[in-house]
Amino acid sequence: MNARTALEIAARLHELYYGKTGGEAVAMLRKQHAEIDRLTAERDKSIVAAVAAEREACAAVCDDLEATFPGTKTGNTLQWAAEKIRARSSK
Amino acid sequence: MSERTALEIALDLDAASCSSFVKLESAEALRKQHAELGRLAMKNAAYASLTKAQDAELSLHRDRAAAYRAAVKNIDSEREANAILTAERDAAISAAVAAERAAHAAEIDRLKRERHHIYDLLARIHRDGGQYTAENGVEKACEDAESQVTAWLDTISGVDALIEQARIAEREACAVVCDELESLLPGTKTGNMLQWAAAQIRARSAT
Repeated sequence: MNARTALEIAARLHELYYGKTGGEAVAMLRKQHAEIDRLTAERDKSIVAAVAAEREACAAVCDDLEATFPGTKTGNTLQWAAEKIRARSSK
Repeated sequence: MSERTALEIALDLDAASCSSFVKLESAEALRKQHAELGRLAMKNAAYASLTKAQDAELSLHRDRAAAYRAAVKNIDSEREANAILTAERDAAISAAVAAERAAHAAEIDRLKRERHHIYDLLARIHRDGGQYTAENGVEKACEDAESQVTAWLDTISGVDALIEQARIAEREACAVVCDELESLLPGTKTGNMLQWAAAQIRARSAT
């Protein structure tokens, strides 16, 4: 069930049912919707953080290799590769 | 004076030739006295016997009285010993009861603290101030809490899987960056190094 559908159901219930139970059901649907939003945002935040950490670790692989060829064409290319990898975060 | 002598005197008085009223009266008195003496002697013997029997009985009573006094003394001594033992026993029981009460009080405190923690945990899991547990009881609240925690663990596992997939995808994308750079410099030392970098990045999945 998507958030919009849940809120629509709550709005529809609010229009049709005036009893105490109906009021509670509407409040619960809205509360759960808000909770789902919060948890989804937290999950997305965790995924973004994990991806960023992985990206940095990959860039570090290139940095480590570049450190064995400092000032050479190969070293510069590896440095460029690390920069391109880090630049993925702005995509 | 012996019994025979008194009777002989009486016979002599009877046999005397010049019997007079006084003599006869004396002889009669002597006989009466003799008879009275015999009666009194018998009575005295009977009294002596009775006295002896009474003394024996008295002695028996004295022995019994002594035995009773000894028994009473013994009973008093036992009563005293019992009083001491009873006091000691009562003190021991009081101490044991006090210790038991203290242990019970400590156990009750521990159980109260545990219950408090359980109620707190249930309130946290059910996301209220304890109303759900109050309305449905601890048993149902625990059963529902278990289901809730299982659902959360499943959700967390699902999120972990999503994160892992995202990391694998990002790793592959980073390796592709190196592949693309390597394709610009094929067969060169730099190209080979970029190929090695891509392989090392992909190898991170095994770490």
